[in-house]
Amino acid sequence: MRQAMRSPFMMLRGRGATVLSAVLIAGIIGVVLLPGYRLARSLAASNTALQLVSEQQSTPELLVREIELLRDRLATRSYVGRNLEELRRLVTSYDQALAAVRASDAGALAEVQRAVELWARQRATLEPLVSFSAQPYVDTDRGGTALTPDGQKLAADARKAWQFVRANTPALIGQFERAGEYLRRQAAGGADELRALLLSGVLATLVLFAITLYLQLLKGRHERAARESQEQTRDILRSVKEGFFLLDADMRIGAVWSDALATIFQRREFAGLAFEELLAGLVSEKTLQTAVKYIGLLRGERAQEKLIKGINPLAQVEVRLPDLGAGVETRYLEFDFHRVSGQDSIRYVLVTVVDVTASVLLARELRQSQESGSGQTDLLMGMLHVDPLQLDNFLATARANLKVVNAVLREPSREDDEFRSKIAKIFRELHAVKGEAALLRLGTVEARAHAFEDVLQELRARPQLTGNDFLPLLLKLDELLAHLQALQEMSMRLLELRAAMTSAAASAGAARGEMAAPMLTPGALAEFADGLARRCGKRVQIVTEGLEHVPPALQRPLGEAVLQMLRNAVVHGIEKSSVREAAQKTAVGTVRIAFGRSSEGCSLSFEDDGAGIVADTLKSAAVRKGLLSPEEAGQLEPRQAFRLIFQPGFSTQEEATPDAGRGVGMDLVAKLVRELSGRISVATRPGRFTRFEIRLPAAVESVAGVA
Amino acid sequence: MPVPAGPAMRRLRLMIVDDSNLIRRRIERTQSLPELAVVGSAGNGEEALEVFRRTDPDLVTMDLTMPEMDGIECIAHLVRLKPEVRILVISALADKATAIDAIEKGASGFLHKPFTDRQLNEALLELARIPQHA
Repeated sequence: MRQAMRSPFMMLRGRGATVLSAVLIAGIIGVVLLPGYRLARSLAASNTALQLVSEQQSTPELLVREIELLRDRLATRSYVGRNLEELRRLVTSYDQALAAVRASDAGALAEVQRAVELWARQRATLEPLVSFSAQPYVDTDRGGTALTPDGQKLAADARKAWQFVRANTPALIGQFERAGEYLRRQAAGGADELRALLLSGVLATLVLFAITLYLQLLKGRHERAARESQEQTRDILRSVKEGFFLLDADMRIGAVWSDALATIFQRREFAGLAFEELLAGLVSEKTLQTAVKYIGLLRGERAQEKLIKGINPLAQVEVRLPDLGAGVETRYLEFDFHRVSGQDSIRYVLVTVVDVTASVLLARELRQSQESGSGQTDLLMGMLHVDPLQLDNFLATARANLKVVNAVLREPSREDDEFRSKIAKIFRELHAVKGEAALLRLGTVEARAHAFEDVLQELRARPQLTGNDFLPLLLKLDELLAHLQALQEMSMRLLELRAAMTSAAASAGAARGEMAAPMLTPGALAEFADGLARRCGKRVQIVTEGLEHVPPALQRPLGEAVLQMLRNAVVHGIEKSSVREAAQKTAVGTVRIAFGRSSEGCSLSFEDDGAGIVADTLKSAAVRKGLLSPEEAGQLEPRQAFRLIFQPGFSTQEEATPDAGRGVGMDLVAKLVRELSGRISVATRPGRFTRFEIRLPAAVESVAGVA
Repeated sequence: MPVPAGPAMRRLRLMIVDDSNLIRRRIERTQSLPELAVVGSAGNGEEALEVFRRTDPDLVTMDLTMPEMDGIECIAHLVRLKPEVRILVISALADKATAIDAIEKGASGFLHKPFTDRQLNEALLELARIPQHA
């Protein structure tokens, strides 16, 4: 981002410097080089003129002397050819010098003008001498040489010229000197000017050089900044833990991605890879299709990114990836998708992938350890208030129950009703375990048994059953058995602890004494009823009679039966205090349990002063459960209707709670009684009471314990 | 239900579609955005179309599983009737593919049931903020 903002700015400065240097170059050419050239040329011209002027400075005087010489020669009749020659040369060179001076900067000077005028006049008087080409002498008879007429004229011209030139010369020389002076000054000034020009040229060049240097520096810095930002981008992509990449309109991965991607997906090349190829084989086909659709939504304008985050199908996915060895491992990836908008459309979808395996596993472990931690604590707390021998007794019974469950599960069966009868059997056994666990307040066992029952309930609701449906039950059974094993171990340790603390003899004696009455004690029953009543928001008291006479062999079966009836009585029978008071009853419900022996055998009576059983309620519940057709229900006598409660799977309570409502209670009691070759009957009066009577033959007392 | 007149004063009109009376009332009571006015509610897709034609809402909250006409079909109809309508799907559906189908049909967002008051208001605010489609 920062890079993008800086570079146009730098480009502007670069462009400004370029323009500046171009202006400078033009300036150097226009202001320094061109005038310098002109100046140098005029300087050269002035110099030439100056040289000519100084060369010709003596010419006027030479002319005077030459004319004098010519005149003398003419008088002595000597040879004049060389004089004439010399005159011509002087005149010509002076002509040339003057022409050069006129052409120079000095040409416009008044002095030069004047000199030119003077010379022109002088030149006119000299002309006859210069252009003379006749014979000046002739030999006479009188001996000697005489002047020819031409010669005479020449002599006259020479005289005239001498007079003029002699008079004119100082002025001419003066003018020439002044012109020379001017030219000298001019040359000196020109040189200064040229020096200044050259100096400014050098300066301008230096500035130009500096600018070039600066531009180069700027460019270098720009390039360095670009390189740096590129490196930084690279560093970021190399070190982030998240996998980043862009998806284009064709859902292909762009040219840039973070290195973490390679670690996450165990592959090297991603450029141009289609998103579907990346995930093919890692997630289910359906998930992949849903994900592609989801990305499609992001490319569309209609859906709001924030509002569809919740339905990202790859928010957390389980994938199977090759591990460092040759195998595959399960990992958890989190994908996040963001729109990347261009000018007017969505250009890319930015995808972030994070491997959250560690945190997912950690969270799971934490949950498990919390569960098992609280489980262990619950277990320990639950066991602390249970007598170890009572617990031992329970464990033995529970194991026996589960053994039955195991046997039932392994029975071969094919038919649907066979399966269903298996479920009913298992249900009864489990319910017994649950009931005893509840009595001993072993919440952990109770909860597991309840969870097991949930599975059974779910199976029972299925229209069709197969052998495979029972597989999860084996697992549940193992779990329950393992839990009982853990309880056993802990119980052993507690026993050892106790043994160490009390004398071995006393402990053994106490143990033998309590073994006879593990369950059917008034205290245990009252405690169980209290707990149950509290959970139901009710109040109940237990009145017992003769329970101490229950023979050891009947402790377990009758204990289970009483427990079940007590559960039913508190949950279904006894009303809440407010209801009871409104019906003119005592606020606290009463349950009476009485055991008696006679010559024919023994009997157990169980009575609560609760709401009683209403036949019609039972009938409609039976119809609802499909146990009876409405017609059958209509014809049913009340006495027959009451027997419905002994049917497997019958309950009037809609919602299953750990305490009651699975309808398995009374059929378990009926089964127990049947196993003891006994009979059970029910008497009830709506609003007043419900009473169960169990009668057992005398013979069973000794047999039951062995069964 | 009267809505203040004038384009500057005009509040966004919200219709609530859900087959549960409880949820409808919950949404109506919970939404507390001053820029929204509930103009109608419906218990199924058919009814929703009828209420939509009558009240011309700008925003709609839409359940997916409803009798008569389900949410996805209803969304398609509503978008056909008024392309610029913005629809928030509010559903307990665990199946993301169905939710995505609903968005593909033209809904703008998805809110999972059960939701807190805050979640609902934030989602509605977000929905109201989307620029109108041309």
